[in-house]
Amino acid sequence: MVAIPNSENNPFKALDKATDKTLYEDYAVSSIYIKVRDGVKIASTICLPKGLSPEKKIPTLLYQTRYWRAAKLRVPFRWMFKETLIHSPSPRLFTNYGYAIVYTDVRGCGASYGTRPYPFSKEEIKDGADIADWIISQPWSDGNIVSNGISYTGSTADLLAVNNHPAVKAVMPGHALWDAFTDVVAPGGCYDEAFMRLWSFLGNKLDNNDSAPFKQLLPIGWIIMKGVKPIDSDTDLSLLNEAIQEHATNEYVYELSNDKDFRDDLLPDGTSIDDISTYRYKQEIEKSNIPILGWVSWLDSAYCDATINRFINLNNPQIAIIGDWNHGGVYNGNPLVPDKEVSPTPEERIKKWIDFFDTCIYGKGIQGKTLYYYTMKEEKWKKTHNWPPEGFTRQRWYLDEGNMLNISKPENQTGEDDYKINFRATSGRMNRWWTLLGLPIDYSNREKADKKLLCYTSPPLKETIEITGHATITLFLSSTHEDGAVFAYLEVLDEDGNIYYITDGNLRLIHRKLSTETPPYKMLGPYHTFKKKDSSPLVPGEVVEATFAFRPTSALIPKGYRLKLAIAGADKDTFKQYPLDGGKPVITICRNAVNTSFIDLPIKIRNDI
Amino acid sequence: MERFIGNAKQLFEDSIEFQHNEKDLTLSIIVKGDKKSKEVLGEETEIRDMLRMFGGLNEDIAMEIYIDEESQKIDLKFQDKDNYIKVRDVLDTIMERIMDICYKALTGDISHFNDLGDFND
Repeated sequence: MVAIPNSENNPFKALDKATDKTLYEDYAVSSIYIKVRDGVKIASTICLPKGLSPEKKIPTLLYQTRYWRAAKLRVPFRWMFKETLIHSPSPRLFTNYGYAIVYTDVRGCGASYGTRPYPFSKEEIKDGADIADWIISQPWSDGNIVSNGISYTGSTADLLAVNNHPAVKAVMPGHALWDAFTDVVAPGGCYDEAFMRLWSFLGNKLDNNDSAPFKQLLPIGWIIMKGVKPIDSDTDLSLLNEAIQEHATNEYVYELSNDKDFRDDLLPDGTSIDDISTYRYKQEIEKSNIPILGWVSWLDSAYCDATINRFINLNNPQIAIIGDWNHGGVYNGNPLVPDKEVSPTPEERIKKWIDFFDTCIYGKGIQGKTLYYYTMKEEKWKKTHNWPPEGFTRQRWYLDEGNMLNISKPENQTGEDDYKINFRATSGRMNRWWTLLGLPIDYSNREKADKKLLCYTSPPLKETIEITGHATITLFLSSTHEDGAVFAYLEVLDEDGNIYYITDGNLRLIHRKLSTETPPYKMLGPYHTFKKKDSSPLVPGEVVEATFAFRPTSALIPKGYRLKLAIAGADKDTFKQYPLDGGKPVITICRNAVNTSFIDLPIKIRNDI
Repeated sequence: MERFIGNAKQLFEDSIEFQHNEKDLTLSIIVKGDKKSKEVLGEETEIRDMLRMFGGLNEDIAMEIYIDEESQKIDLKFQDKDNYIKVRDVLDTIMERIMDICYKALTGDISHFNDLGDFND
């Protein structure tokens, strides 16, 4: 393991306040139903430290999942492990420190009763308050509840704050969404076909207690797990079977959304994709004033944007952490230093999370807002109270003849490049989007990928620069077709010609209009509404401007390296193809004095390196 | 889940003991540690699945299976010595096989299961 860089800006050092307070060595598990306000029974697994004396009161970590809260393991694993084996790191890390853990299957999922119209429904959110009521009525509860999670469970932690329940003292959304449309469903207006389809498929199987898909998708999971754990008293599985029957009317996001092109398209019950977005609950979350620790990584889908948006939009006391790992922080996700191991390890991280929760329950809590971010290649943590951080200026690099990126504007009047869209172009299945399934991230094959793309490369940099924040791209282009998409990859080449991915951005071109309306929340970068009223087809042959942001990043680019921009019109293993009916579109990128295409980078000269 | 494999062999040895009684043609699986409920000990079909899935026992072996919650013991009784020996040999190597299967599964290789049919899911 690579040691965590020792810096005062390292959040894992900053949170390192606790003494070694291991109080317990094991935990006892039980599973029951908790009945909520409308009679729906929520399957709950409770982990209590073993040896907890009857008079001892402890805080509770609530973890609400749409995946199984606990698994019925196969024999012989069932003889060796608890049903909480599926949770990594082990719940033991929390129970040893004197926390109870309550894992629940959200309604319509696992062994819980109820149905599920879509993720994060209002009823699902309210269940959090009912479960909190149940927790604080337990003899072992000290009346304090915290919540954490990663991905879906990160969002349920975030949304627990919506209830303004007085027992909830802190929440920790890890790798969690803010704006469902742009973070997950259709980043840049391009539908994430792969994830939406797979996630819905898996969700359907999980809700029907069918572990068969794991045989191909997660073989180790299939080997170990038979299905969801029924509650302890359900020895004949009659309750589990009843609950699963209620799931028959569940709805799944792929079926609900795969024909939707616009943010304001309505789902069958009259709601929209926005209704499952955390940003819709800004007012309620701020009213709670609950401290929030949000954490994510630069290369996790668009969740880096989600974490920054949460940070800049909510007034709650906050810590935000943006590192260099995959979705969930299990693997390294630093394309500039691909061979290192993930740091900190999940176990190390959990100990810091306990410190955060302890501070919020027993200490002075946290004040103000602090964002810690990791600068890749420099391999250093930084700290800021504002985003974007101060000290960065914008630097433009213009697309120019000879597939060059130049710092000076092109002088020719007519320069342009045709690019026949290659629908076989792909960023692979270990990209920032597929990691939403927990996969490692691997962008090491950009040389091969770029051969299908239109590329522009700069001369060697004369100075070392740091790029931190949202870079943007402006393209003046025309197409032979009315619909299309642009995928832009920002990369660097080292002195030996090795290519390293930095970040990317994309835009479906019918959404190109830059809106002057007030956005629904504070946004960084060009604002596209993705609404139907603002969309318009391209007129073949007519030059239009397409300006959009790259996903945020922080990376050091050494002197002598070259910047590279690679432009695609498709990413076949991830996104839906545009135009939907295919064809053989050709886009023409203008790179001349009249229609100037460029990338705009937030940079700082780093002569100190 | 990767992390559990590193400790699994030791945990297996701490949790499970096999006893052979060639005279009675009986193999016993003793589940150690905290007392397990009947549901945790499992059903007869699950024991057979374990032998097939992890032991590679791709044939129906005539045996009677007795699961006793009180003693935390699972007895496999045979009429035929050859069958007894086949299952004994499977149990003697089952942990190594499980480790191997898990390691392969972590890399996506489940070829081992291709010829073993469906399991009792």
